[in-house]
Amino acid sequence: MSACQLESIPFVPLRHLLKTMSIYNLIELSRTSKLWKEEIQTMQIIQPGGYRITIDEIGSSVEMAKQDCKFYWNRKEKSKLLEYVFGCYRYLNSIFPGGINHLRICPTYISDFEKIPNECQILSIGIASEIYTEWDLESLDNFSNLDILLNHVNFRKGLSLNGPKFLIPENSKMLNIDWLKVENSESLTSSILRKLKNKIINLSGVKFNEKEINEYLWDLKQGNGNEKLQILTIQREDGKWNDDEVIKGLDTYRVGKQVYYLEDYDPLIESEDFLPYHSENRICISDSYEFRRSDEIRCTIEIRYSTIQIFVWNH
Amino acid sequence: MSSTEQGTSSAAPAEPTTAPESAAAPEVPESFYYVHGKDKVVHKVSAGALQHSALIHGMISNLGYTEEQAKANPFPFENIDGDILQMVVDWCNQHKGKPTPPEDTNLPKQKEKLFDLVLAVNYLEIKELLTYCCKQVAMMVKGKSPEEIREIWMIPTDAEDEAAEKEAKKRAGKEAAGETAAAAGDAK
Repeated sequence: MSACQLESIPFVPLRHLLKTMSIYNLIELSRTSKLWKEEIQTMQIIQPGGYRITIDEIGSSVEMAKQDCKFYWNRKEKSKLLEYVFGCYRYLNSIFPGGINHLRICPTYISDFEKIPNECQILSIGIASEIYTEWDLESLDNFSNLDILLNHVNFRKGLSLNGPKFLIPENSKMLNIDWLKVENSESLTSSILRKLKNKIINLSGVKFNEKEINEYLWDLKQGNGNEKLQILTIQREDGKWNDDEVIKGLDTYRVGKQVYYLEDYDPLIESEDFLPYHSENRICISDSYEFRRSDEIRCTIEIRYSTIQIFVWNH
Repeated sequence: MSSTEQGTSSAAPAEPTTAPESAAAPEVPESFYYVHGKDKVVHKVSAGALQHSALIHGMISNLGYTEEQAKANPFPFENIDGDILQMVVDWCNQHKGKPTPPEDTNLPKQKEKLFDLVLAVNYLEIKELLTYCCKQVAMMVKGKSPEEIREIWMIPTDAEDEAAEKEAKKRAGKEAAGETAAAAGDAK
């Protein structure tokens, strides 16, 4: 009755058939001809749930958020590696559209930043410092400007500056993105801290003193601070915060345990440690200090040894 | 209450409180229907087995087809080869009133037969068998390269597709020109 042509199969069994195929097989099928590539695109067989792309010193990968599908490459010549990684992503995204949820890239790829796709939800720059060779770290001494990358990539929700050493670009996008995380913040000055207009901020390895934090809180109280702020985490590399110095003159009162619910919780926030310890949108706050801003909004300050967390109840 | 009061021997067994099952539920004789394919060979299939096919089940229940009518006029499936219909009937009989297993290893291995079976099963709307067949067809290309897939499933290359499209356009153009000429002739 039929020749064994795939195109002889009617729509319903064909869709059924394509759904039973693995993602890898569907990719191979899409490469047989333009017609089948279009067919797979149109039928929307796979929902990738977005992509996570990692380009680092150990290896690189492209993976789908909602499917068990990952492609990875070991250390290769950098420019070629980027061609493979982004070539792979562009092809996958053309047949299973989803966009980039999370792009993680090492700053050592600076000369190839223009090859990077220009749209993602979260951009992470750098990974843990033990991964880098001495040569890499030396090359970062000359690394002056992250603006090339930050201007090229439109990151919509979050930015994570993970090092391997202090990386603070002079870029307004960093100051305004919803979620910001900065590791190795030792050179972060209190004037930059005052410029941050993010909703969720996590700063590690800061060198601020209690007076600087106290001044920041004063500004917050008087309505001159970051109006968007919901949660700010500030962590010292070493040493305990002096509670009295931090809250000096703020007319705070003590409060017991309470739960802070994050407004508009988006699971993508889990891609990096933007938030303090939490369970989905719930964050438990232990004994803490509180004051009211000039607009009567509560601000809670939890101080735990080397970490200060500030919660603004503006929702 | 003593046995004497009942007027029976104490050794006599107590009377059962319910009637035996066999007496309560007399078996309803199963009805049969008849189908034939392209080769006109008639296959007898029980109503239970035919429940797998949403198409035939719908015909029986919606059209009120009786067994006698079905015997006189078997369901004709002229678009299904006799041997394929036989396979379908066998599968329906084997799985009558049973839960379908997660895999079926009795499907044909030859790809021509398997493709024909997919078309037949899709037409007859036998959901479970369609799932097995699709899995089997998908298995044909598991781990294969695009070139191998193209060969197995007879997928034309882009160049062949373009050539076929050009040819079809050319043919359509010629046919249209022929029709115009014929219409002009008729008008004269």
